[in-house]
Amino acid sequence: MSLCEFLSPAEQLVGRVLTNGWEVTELLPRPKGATGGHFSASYIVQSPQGQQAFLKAMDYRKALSSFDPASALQIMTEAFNFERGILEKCRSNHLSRIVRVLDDGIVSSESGEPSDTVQYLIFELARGDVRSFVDFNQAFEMSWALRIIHQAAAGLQQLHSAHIAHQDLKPSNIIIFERHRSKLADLGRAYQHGEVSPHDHYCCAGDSTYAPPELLYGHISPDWKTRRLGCDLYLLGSLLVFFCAGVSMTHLLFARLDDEHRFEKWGGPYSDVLPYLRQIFAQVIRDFPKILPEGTILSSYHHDIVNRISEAIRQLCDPDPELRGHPRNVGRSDTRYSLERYVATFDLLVRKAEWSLMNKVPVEKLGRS
Amino acid sequence: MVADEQSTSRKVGSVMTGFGKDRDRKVIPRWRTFSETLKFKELDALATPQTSKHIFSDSDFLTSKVKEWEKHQTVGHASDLVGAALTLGRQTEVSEAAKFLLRSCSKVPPWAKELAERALRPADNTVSILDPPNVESSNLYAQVRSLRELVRAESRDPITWVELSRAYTTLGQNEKADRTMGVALQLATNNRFVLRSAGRLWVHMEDPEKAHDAIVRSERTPYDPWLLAAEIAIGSICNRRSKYIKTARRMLSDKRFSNYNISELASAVATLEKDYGNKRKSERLFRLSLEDPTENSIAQASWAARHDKAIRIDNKQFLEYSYTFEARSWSLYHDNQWEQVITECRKWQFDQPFSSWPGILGSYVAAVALEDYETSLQFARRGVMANRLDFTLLNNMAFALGNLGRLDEARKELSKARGLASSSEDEVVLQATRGLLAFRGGDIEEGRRFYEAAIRTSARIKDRRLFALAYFFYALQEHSYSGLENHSESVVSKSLQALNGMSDPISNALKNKLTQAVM
Repeated sequence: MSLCEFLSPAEQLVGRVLTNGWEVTELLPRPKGATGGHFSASYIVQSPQGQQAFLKAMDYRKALSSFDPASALQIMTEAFNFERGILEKCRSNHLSRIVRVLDDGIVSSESGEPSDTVQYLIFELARGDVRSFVDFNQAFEMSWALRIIHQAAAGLQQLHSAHIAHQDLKPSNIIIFERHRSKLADLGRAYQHGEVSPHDHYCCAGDSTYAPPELLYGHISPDWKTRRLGCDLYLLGSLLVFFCAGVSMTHLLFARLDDEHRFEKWGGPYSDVLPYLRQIFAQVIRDFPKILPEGTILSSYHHDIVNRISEAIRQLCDPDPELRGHPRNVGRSDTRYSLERYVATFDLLVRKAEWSLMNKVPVEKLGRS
Repeated sequence: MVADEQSTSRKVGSVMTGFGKDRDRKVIPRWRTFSETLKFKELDALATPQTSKHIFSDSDFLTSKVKEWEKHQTVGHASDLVGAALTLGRQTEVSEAAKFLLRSCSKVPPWAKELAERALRPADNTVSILDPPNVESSNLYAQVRSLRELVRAESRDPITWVELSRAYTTLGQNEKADRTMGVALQLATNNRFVLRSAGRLWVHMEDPEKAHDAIVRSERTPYDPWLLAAEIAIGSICNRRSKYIKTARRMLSDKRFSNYNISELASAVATLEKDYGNKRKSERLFRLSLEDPTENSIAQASWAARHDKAIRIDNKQFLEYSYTFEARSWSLYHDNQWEQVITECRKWQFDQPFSSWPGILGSYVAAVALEDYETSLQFARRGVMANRLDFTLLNNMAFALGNLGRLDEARKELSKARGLASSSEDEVVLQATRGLLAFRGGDIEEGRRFYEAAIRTSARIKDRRLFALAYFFYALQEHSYSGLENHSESVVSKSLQALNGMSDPISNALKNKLTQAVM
């Protein structure tokens, strides 16, 4: 019995040449399934010009052998089409901070069986996700972290301007190309306003372990902006916490929350549990400047930056989605969840951090702007 | 004078160190710190979660994080996994990653370490029976500073505003307490912790109407047995009949809530029934309140059983429950266990530092039964910190100071008490304490005049207890300064006669003391 008989068609693409000359060179270890759960395989591919890229292949045969093949196939197909559509929209709108899909297509299997047909998407090839680059073992590199946050905020802002909410922003979905260049990836959980998305009926479309608290309690705002864009703002703030503290805001809230107030046990309205979440949130905000590593560049030079980051976290991660966002935007329906001010703030902070790092001058001496 | 659980009772000063008869107790919510209140399970949701909600998407994110951690073995992956597990309540599945974070020591960010420790440590929700927070050792001003720092960081946090209000109340800074509680209430008009704390604060500040208004205004009150209990109890202090009484009765009978959740409601309605003279209904409801009681319900049932023989409740079995300091103090008082009363009162005062009652009872028993004036002074002082205008506590302070020979301080405290005297009973107490200070100052004639005035006034108002106590202390002073002279002998004998007519557990102790003194 050969190895091929154990592998699904999606796992047998090495050596195949696809449409537009892409050659499949290497099968990657199975990543977590983003589109269609675990029914995908990943490869490195190479263009005729020598450009390397990342290929995600849909494994329909795996879906057919699942407990409910019809549903699995439907979920896969819907998810694939949705992600392809939304990535296409990002490409056509020139959303530069979103991972670019380079190509897509269908490849027939060598067996010729229709069920063995493989659909694929080809993306720009990144060096890895953020987690592999954040090194808590060394002095905290604030300028680098702020740059990544700035790029993530810009990416979200681009998506929001196209009426798309990412809904699954987390360290593993920020991919790094060069040391200082990152993009948002994995739009499989995104929401496109005015269109039906495969995860619309879930409160938490994305990773529940990063989700904003209101969604974990099943509290859904009727306003799409509050629900979807508010979620993205929280995830951005939470990402900021991760960069500085190694854990997300959601992790902190639920690790410290009393057992009886946890979402699995809470049967009351979200407004009733909100004061208890806010109490923990207040502790996090108060303690944030104190937990940053002693003796690092950050704590020695960047009190101004820390205060601004702390304030940004407070505004972005507010447990009440109605109060989330920049205070100057509260009450304005058009720019209620706008990220513009944060993009500008993070850009400024990157410059301050870089300048002070180069010149070894405390940021306070640069004056506030 | 500041109101209390026994809010409508007159705290009759005597001795005179004094304490009133605990004749009209209401089941006013306890006000503990937020973390203590959580441990008592007073803030649980009353409804069970709806399982039909489509909350999560189909992916098992934790499993994928486990795989990634196994592959990469970095601090970032480990903390991501441990945090995720804690979020989902599945920390038992990630002990390896948690141990990895703790092993990595200084290389791990502090919060990631904290999460790792939490993942490996079972939740501690036990209530310590004998160790309430010690307000004496903790620096209340430091606590205020820390809480202010918290509200500065997040001004929309109602829980911390309540905590700040409690700290101010304990320090006797009522205006600040009132203001901060107002902020908390604006931020969370329907929150049980906020409303019950506000209720307790404003009853303490002798504004039960304001307390009642806040609770009755909340849209949550008719659906929440904890709030309903507070509404009924506080309403009865300000003579407002609850408009939710039918709702309360229905709540008690329809078994929708657990016995623990309706314990205080049953207790509040039982107290109402007792006031209306419906002894059987009252007894039945008190029994219901004790099915799975709170400490407050136990104290209330104990009080009812002490004061109304028709209500037969064996509450002794409940006295071992956590934090039943008040019930235990009174039970021990009635059993003449004076040393133990002091121990329990001390815990009671630490548990409810703004309450005047533990200070009053503790200072009374320490001074009268044990003649331990230092302890009496400590109790009174702690009580006065939060109750600066409490006549009884100020008088008890003067009494203790007088007996310690610190006459100038005693006179100073007594002059404060004089400005607060508002009844004939208070007059008796003042006259007697002035008598004591005169005797102690060597002015025996003046001392006699004051004591005799106290005895006359108490006779006029027909207060046997005060009459007996005034005579008792007069006899003690007379004997110690005049020895076995005729006048002294006559006072002692009249005192013993008066003590026979005094129906108070302490009367026997006083008789013995007097008999021993003259032997």
